Amino acid sequence: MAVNSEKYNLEDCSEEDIMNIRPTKLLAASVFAVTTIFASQTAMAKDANLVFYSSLTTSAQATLNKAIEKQFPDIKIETITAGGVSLYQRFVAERMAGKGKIDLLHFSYTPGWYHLAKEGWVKDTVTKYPEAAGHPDWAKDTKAHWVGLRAPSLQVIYNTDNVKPSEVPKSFAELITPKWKNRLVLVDPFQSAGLWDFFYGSKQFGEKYIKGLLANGTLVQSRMGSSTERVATGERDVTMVFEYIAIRRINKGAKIKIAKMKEGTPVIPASFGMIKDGPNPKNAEKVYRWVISKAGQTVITQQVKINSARTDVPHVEGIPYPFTPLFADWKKVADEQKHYREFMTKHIREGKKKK
Amino acid sequence: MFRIPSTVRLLEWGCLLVIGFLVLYPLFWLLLGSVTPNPASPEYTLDAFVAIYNAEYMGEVLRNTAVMSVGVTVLSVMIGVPLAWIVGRTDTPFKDYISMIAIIPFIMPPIVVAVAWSYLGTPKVGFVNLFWKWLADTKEPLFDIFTMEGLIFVMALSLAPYVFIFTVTAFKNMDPTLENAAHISGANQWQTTFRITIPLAGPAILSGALLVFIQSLEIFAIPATIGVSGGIYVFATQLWRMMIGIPPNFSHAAAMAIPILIICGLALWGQTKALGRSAKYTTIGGKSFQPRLIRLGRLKYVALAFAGVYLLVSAILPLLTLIYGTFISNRGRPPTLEFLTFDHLVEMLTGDGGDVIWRSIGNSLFLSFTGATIGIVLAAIVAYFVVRSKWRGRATLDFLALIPVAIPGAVIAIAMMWAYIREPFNLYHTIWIILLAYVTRFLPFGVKAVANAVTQIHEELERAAAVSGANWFTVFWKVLVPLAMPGIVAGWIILFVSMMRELSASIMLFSSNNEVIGTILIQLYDEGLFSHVCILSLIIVILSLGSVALVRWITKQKDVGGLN
Repeated sequence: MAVNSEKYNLEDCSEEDIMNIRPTKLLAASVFAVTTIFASQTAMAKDANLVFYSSLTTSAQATLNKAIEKQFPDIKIETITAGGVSLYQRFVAERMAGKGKIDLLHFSYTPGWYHLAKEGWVKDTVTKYPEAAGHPDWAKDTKAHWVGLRAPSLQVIYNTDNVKPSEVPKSFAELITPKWKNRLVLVDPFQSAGLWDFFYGSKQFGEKYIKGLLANGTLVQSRMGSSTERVATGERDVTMVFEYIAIRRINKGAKIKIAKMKEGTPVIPASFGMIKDGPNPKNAEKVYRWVISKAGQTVITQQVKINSARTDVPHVEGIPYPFTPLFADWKKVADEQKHYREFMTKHIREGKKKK
Repeated sequence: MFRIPSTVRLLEWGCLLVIGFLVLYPLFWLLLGSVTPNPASPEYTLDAFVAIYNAEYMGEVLRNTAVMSVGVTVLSVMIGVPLAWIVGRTDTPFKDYISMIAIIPFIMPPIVVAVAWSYLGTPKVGFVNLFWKWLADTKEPLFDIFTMEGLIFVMALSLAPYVFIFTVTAFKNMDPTLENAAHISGANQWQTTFRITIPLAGPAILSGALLVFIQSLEIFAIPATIGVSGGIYVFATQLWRMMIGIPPNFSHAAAMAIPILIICGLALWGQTKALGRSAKYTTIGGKSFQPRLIRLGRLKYVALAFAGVYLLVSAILPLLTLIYGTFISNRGRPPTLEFLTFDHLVEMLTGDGGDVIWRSIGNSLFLSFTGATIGIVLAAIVAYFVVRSKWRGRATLDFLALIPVAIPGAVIAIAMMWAYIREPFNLYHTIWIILLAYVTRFLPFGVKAVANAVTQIHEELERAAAVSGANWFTVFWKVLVPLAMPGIVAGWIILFVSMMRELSASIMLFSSNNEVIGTILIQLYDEGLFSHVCILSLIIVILSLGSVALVRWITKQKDVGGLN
């Protein structure tokens, strides 16, 4: 007899029942399951000789890793991918604990690199490699010690059902006018930094423009993917997202299009550096130099499908091209962090109240 | 009185040492982190506390948090208790199905619930609002999900299963003697329900409500998705905001976690004081009983409708959204054959990122099976000592075992990293640090589940076994464990499901080859791959329900805490 929730009487239990070993069976089954699963998962582990932290998407990094391992068959890559801010925080937390011994680091939270450079965690020679010569000045930084692994552009996209051809936005300036009141959706600056960092660091836009955007009934979403969803489904009409997010949705048949802005196209160079005391310095240098070279950057645009800062590689299909790149002063964003965050905290709330 | 042998005292101390280490060692690093910007440096300062409490809008954040947490707790109890009563004590039809579907919102990671409701509840094109506009022939939406009411609603949908799971066990295990006495004394069905049945389930309801309250303070994904969109900032989102910056302000996050810890500690202490260890909640005695089902008559259809509405909004609509997201070629298109596709499924599972996704599923299963098993064994021992022992250290043990639930996941992850990244443990970049984090983080859920079950078992059963010559270990293993098995299995399932969907700690602690479903889910979400998020969420639901069924089959538990 099994003791169940409806009968708890010891007097009714035979000796056999008392000796019922259901808990033991449960434990044995769990141990068996655990052993089987652990055996299968440990079998997948491999010996790596290059440690690469990257904010590329999971599949994009997998594509890049395959290309690197094809180029250098003796190299096995261990990768951790995460969002730019998360990766920066993780690396800093590791360093604070005396670890973080990795080889290559790539994330698009560009202002964070000034902190890494200040702490002396990144190699200061990367911009001097001959392969970096093909990158324009805005796509490398001799003070923060990085070269852009990619240069994603920020594109303005609109819903083709809600926005008539005659009213398609033509400039960033018009997005803060009453015409677009309650029609914008943008990403939360405290969860996805790139877009707002750009506007804050840009001389052309700055605080006044940010205030205008937030005061224009803008809906805030946690990530760029969510902003894109709100436009693709027609909840809002216009947003700004990285080009690879927009192109992916357009290619799948979403009712969105990219609008060409007369001021130009914001470009956010996604920083790529080498860690000073990495465990595999030779492999790191080989791979680093190849990735920023013309050959590596061609892989970035043609296989990974993300824009490159180099002009000597074929561009990504789908992005309006050529475009006038707009740049920001990332050091300003890094140096004025306290004021910047207080400013955003204030105006994101005030913008909501004005709704 | 049944005397605990002295060897058991050693076990009690051993248990206290293990739990003390698991909880206090990372907590030490957390406290250290709150007074030093870099825990490895010798500079100590209270700047983080000063910065936090001088922060602009802190009053607004506290106000929002109080409204949200109280609202979520009240709504969760209003949903969870009636639902548990319907399933546990009435003759409402389809109870098995209700019971099974009711845990789906618990299985779904909060980020998925939030994403699903972002599609369902937006004012202009949200599916529910579109249906309402069509039904009522109006242009006005029924509601806007990006409001405080929307935030409370979505949080409660996600958290009400805690109240349901804890309470349904209590209702089902209830000895009807007191209810019978009430009937004999002239009380009608409703008087008996409100004056006897529900108060008897008090400890379970309070446990569930307390966990909901604490979780509502801790969950980040829903306030970050629904709340932020409505301009509503609460403790969890503020904590994140304080943490980011150049350099990251980990000390601010650690300092901000301290008041949450104190509030939750006080709440747990209050619960212990309020309930005490009175025998009044003991409902499983040495006599056989069959809990009596209440015949609702026509009211059973009202009960069915109540359960149906809850299941519709909490599980069925979000699940349909996930299925829609999985098979629609492009979200925003109608679900007609023309726009249905298997492309997302094929792309996700066989594309360049496919290996990582499969590996994460294997890792999550391994960690959840192992973690839930280790966790429930520890929890059962802790719960036994806490409920049964007369040992002075039991209050400390009880409190220690519950502390992790009061620390936000993002903060406990940093504390775990700082604790185990260095000698003598050096577990960072291994799967074991994630396992340790899971066991530590979810131990309180297991302890609560088992403690509720043990509280309902009368000591006379153990005394009878002892009088018959059984030693303590035999009594524990052969008498108490089988009797508490519904609670133990319910606890195991709570741990397993919580670990399967865990995100906050995993995101800081995962490493190459040690990815878990949660980390992949958040990456796919970050990347805007919502179709993939939908697929992975469905995989979590299927695997979790499959595991529940497997455990039910192995343990031959007809019902485990309402988890059919």
